[in-house]
Amino acid sequence: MSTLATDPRRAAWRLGDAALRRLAYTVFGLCVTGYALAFAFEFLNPYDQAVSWGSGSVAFDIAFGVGTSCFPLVGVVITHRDPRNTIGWLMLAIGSVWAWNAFAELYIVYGARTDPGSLPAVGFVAALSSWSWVPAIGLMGTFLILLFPDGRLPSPRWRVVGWASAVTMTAASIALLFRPGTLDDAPIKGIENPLGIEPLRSLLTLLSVSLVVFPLCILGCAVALVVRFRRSRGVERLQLKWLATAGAFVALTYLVAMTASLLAGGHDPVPGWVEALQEATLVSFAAIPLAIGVAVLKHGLYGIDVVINKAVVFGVLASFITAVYVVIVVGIGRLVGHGDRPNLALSITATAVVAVAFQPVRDRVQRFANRLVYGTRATPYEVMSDFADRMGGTYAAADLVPMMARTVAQGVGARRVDVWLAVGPGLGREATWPLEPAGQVPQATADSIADLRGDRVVPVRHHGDLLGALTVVKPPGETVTPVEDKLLDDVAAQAGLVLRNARLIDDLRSSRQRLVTTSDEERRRLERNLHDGAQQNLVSVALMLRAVRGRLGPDDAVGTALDLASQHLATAIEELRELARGIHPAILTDRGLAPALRSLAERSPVPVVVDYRLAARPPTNVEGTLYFVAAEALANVAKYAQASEVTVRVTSTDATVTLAVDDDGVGGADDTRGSGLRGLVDRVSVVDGTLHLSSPRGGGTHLTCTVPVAAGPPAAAEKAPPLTTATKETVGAGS
Amino acid sequence: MDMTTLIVDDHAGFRTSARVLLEMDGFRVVGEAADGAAAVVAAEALDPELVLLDVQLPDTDGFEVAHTILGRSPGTRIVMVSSRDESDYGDSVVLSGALGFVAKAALSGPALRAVLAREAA
Repeated sequence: MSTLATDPRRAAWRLGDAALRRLAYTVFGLCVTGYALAFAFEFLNPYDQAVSWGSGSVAFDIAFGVGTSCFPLVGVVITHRDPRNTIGWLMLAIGSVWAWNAFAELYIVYGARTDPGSLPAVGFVAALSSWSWVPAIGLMGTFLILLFPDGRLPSPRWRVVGWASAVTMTAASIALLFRPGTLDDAPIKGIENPLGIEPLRSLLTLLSVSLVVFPLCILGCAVALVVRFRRSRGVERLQLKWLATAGAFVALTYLVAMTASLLAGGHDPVPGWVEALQEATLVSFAAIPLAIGVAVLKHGLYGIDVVINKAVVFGVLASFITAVYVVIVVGIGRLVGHGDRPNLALSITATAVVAVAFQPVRDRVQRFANRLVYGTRATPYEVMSDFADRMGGTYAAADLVPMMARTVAQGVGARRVDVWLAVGPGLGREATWPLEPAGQVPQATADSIADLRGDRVVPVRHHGDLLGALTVVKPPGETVTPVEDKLLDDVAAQAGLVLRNARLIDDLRSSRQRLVTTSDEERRRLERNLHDGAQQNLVSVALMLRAVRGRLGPDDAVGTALDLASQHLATAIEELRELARGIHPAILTDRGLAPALRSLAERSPVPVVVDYRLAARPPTNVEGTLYFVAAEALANVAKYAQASEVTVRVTSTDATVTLAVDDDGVGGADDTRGSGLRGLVDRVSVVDGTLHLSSPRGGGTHLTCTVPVAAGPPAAAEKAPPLTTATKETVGAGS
Repeated sequence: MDMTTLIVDDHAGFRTSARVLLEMDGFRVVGEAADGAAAVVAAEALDPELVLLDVQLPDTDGFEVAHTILGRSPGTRIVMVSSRDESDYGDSVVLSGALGFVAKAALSGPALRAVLAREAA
């Protein structure tokens, strides 16, 4: 049996799946039989004589039985699902040794003490069971943790530890099995070992030295587990976390029970609650096989992170409450000399302390547990709750998609997350995490969802309509765990609405952009019409009036009237020119932002320094936006600022152009009052720009407008088209 | 002797008015052109002493034309005109090699002579 379990893969070579399953059921059946017989003897043996674990009560034996019987139970479940799973067979092996041990001990007690002579071969049973703790604890302490979770060594060099464990275990078993004299480990003292071999005494004593090496083997295997955990990723890490959690749980239970036992040391008999705690430690043993079972069979589905998190929180809180009661009720109680009698006042004090400190302690512990389990990343629960919060309208709809990328990235510990939006037949990148240095989303498109690349590509649908997708790239060597997969699916399910909104916002933005573009074109056309039409005609009239005036003498009455008419006409022409310029400055279209700003500066009543640092012309809509912002700012400076100088500075990065207008005036400008600047905010937002006004009283006014330049067609080339030599029209050459 | 002058403007109304006005003020208008290409051809053929050149032309801009004419005949005096303001053109007037700028509404013989006087100064 144990050879099969310790070398299950060889057995797996020979037997088919069905045969292996039958074998597993048989072993499990034997285990059940062993436990059943053990409990039968348990009730046949008088309580005061029952001797096994600890102080020897039925409750202890039952607790022990529950704790160990989980091994064969989980083992048979695993082998039923996967007959070639090494861990399953190991568990069955461990379970059958425990079952044999439980049966044998109670058999011996009955046969040697309750009803001596009624059972056969008590001595042989004792000889064959008194050493069985060696393989039972040995397999748990060495091979189980050495081979968990996949049945393989962490790496070939750990083979040494495996062999050392096997040799040590075998040597120790042989040493104990054939040692002459009484069987010290049997439940009834004084039974001679019928298998003892006197001539080999010294050799067997030598072999029992291996018992000293045994803890070292267990330590080596524990190191292997730590090594395996540190380099584990994804599913394997989750499986190891299950085992580690169970181990920690058992250790914590032991710690609590041990502390309680020590505190209650002087009492005889041991108080009931201490006994209950000691029994709980035996039952807690069941956590290890159960955790292994979950890890092997259901890893990921139960969200080990959540289990660990909760276990840490509840474990620490339970310890906290226990500690408070022990310190106050027992400790102080003894100091004030009330002895064993419970002191009501102290109990109330302890309750009050717990009541007051509970919530702060819980918060601290929860934060600690979160950091322990998730590190700096958000818990899946936080991710979803955050997301729901944002969907609820706490944030601007336009920010939701970038936030979604960030939330997902933090939730699954991704190196990169992109959110794609369905645009026409394809997909376009809408948001990315981490952000690019300039805060821009690098433009990218894909023809279909099949063209997207990443460790995970999760489509986002809403009412069956493909709205976009999430792509997730994990750090090298990491894979997306089932828990993270579930999180991604949950986010994708919620993201439909977000992406639908994003699409609407996109539509709205492009519609506004079209409006502004159309309006700009309309302005240019109007300006040109005014210039080419009305203004030219008025200018011609003015020239004709001047010509006629030239024919008349300086004191001619008609001439004086003509002078007056000319003045009015000049005013009208000037007004018309200003009007045209306000509608749209020709210089901006023809020569670009820099000359247009210089032209503005020249006309400004306050001296203006223009510091223009762009190498190439930005897109038309950007030029227009910045020009109108500058014009409005300079007009405001002239009207309100009482400044002696203004600086207009235009600078750029790879992705943005920034216009800054700074004056040295009185400050105190209020951007909420109905200034013309307010109207520009809309215009700036259409090109996704930002407008910032700072105007401390007495500290001048500082206006900054930043506009991204990624989008939009570049403005017309500064140079006019080359001159053609073809004659189009020559009028009146040589008259 | 009256200064021989070429008027370049795409507005026939302006050309006519300017011709009447300048001839009254002692300029001899030897030709008119309605676009940049025609202006270059006419300047070459007529070799005027003065070219009154509109900035905005249908095929190109006046600065470009000024550059071309001066390249072929460096001695030609060029004065830019426009119904817009000189400030609308930044430093383009100076850069083009033209002598100066006169707003169309302010055009007159004396205004032109004032610009031409700068050359002498």
